[in-house]
Amino acid sequence: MLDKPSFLMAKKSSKVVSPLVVVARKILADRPLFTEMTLKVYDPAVTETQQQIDVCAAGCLAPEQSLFLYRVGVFMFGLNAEHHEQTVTHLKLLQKKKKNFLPVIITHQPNLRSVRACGWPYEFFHEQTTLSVGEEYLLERLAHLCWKWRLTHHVDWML
Amino acid sequence: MLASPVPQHALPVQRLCEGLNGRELAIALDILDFESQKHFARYVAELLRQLESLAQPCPIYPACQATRKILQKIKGGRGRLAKKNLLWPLKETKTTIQKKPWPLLAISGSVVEKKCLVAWQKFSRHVRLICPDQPKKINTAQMAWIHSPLISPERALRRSQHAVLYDYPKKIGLSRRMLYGALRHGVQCVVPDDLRNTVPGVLLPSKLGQKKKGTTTAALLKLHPTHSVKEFRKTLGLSSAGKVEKAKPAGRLPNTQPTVMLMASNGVGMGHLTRLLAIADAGKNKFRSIFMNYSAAIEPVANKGYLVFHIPSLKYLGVREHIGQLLQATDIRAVLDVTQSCAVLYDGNVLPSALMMALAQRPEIRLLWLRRGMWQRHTEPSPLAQQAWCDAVLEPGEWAGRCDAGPTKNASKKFVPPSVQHQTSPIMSDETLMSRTKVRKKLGLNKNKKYALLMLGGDYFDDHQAVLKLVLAQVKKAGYVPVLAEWMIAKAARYPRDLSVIRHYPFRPLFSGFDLAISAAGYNSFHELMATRTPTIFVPNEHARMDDQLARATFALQQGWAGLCRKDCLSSLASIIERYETVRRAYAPADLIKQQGAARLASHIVDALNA
Repeated sequence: MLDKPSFLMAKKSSKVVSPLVVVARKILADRPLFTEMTLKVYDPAVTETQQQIDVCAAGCLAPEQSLFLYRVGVFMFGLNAEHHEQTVTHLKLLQKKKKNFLPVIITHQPNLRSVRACGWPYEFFHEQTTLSVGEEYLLERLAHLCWKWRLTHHVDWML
Repeated sequence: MLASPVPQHALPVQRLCEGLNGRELAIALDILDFESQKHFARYVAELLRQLESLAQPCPIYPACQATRKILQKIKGGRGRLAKKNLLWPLKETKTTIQKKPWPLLAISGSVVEKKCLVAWQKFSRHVRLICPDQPKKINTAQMAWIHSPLISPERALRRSQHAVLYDYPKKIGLSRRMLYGALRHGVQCVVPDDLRNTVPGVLLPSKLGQKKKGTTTAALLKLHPTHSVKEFRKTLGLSSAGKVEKAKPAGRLPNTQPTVMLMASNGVGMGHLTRLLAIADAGKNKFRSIFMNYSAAIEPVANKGYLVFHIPSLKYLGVREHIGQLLQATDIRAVLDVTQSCAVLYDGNVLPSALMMALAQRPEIRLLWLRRGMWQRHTEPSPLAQQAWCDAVLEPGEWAGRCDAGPTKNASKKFVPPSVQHQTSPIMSDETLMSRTKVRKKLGLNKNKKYALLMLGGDYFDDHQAVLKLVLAQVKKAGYVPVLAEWMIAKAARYPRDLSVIRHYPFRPLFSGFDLAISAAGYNSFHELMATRTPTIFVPNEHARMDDQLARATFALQQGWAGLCRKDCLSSLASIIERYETVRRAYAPADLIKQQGAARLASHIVDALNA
């Protein structure tokens, strides 16, 4: 019998809520298909984020010998190039260890070299998008991505 | 006296002829739709009488042998009408069409008789066939035809004055898809009474006279009674009776300028993007440019301040090809809607299926194909047939154009031509050259040494590293310090430690800092190096997937503008460099360099938007 990704991670308390989180909450509310999807909010420190990703990945694999492929949407918005590289490297190491953890990178960083080198699914959002076409589009788009990639979890970067 | 000469679903002759100007029409009449031969003959005779009264004659082609025989039997028909080019029986068609090549539009739900198609195909290069199934044993490369939802009927019929669309009971599913498409895109259709309450916007045969003004296309449908209304509603996206799903609401984009979506294909190098950026810059005051890149080169576009979207290529999707294309089409359509784009300018050799799928549901959006020439002689020409569905094909010019022996040269003769076709002067980046000192300072190069810039193209092909190794050895042997120009989309690679690598875009401003360039002869590298009069040895990439770089490089050699070293002669590159240094060089003439095609092309885009 297949395990279900039913775990829910403790949400870290935060004073500020990023617009993306609001968007993601709306998606969760509107999409009963994705009820298992867990939304994570993290602090901006790189090291801590990496730890949280670790926890998330560990959670994905918690049911022993899981046959599920856990597609985790990793929002890497607002990162500078260096932090972006670091996070990708970290994810790469993690993915090598745990094969059923598949990061789906959703990034603002226009230099896609490091992401493409990993061969993972990825999506690019230009920073101008929200300003130019509005938040509604972003909402629709993220909802679409959840469907498109069958995301089971989100890892969000708290700005 | 025949009580009902016209079948229930056929358009009355007068309606059929309204608005005809004889420019483009062929009517495939199917005798099986009439109650008898007499009814059919009477209908055709009436049709011919109406057509006679038109200022310009309109050719009619019998769609099958039976039809032809009946047409010949019509009293006074053949002899009288043939003189006015109104009726051309098959045997007489050949010479007449050769004299005056009418564009033909043959529309039929059933497969038009093979013999007839073969005949048309031989006679005319302007055959457009809309047919639910691919006719067997027909060379369809010679004609544009619809067989899938990639082309919307509205797009196909846009250039027609009238279209008569017949369904064929044995091909229900396929033909019905065309009906749905036609209805969705505002083509007026006539459907049987049993569907009148389910589909908004259809015309019943009895109300044909109330056709609204301004509609140029009408479609006549004969639906089979077995058509499922449920399926019909579902395919039309009808959530409740009388409501059709509309496009998503637009975002915050200002409406002052029309928006054009510029799409760069996922090419080997940066050429597609460079051309599009040059056009976007040139058209800044005329239209708003947004980019939708298959190419991963996003940074240069974002740095220039344009809004950019990206479509990851299929290998990153991890799904089967056709699913991937559907996903890509969804993404493209979403961006078209949210940005309110009026046109798509695609730069690439083959129009991607995802784009065509997206446009099939947005037929009002113009499709412009920016298609570079100089394909290799033996390149498969079939993608050129796609030009039939474009609103314009725009070809950036080539200085070496006279050496072009590829299939694009005769594309309009071999394939159904597009509505509009233009060729401009070469399009290239207009970045100004930096001074030699500045470049050397910026790149940290010694001002007393001789440097060679290596621009060997993208790293897509397997032999890239081997070629690089050979070139490095030979350049050093000739007394130059090599500096490798790495493309923005290049994969991470290991290079020798002593090799300087620069990752920059565009490279053009940096050319002045180098004493020599060893370069592939891609479109942009060729024109930019020659326009900046940089001493160059071309090493053409002769891979079958590439353009005819050898022809370009040979042209430059003949003109004395550059040297040439083919990949199989790389071991003698050092001696070629030495010989090139001693021979006095010629340069591309100044008046040629001044001609910039981007501005011209931008104005062609505006024309297409206003057409």
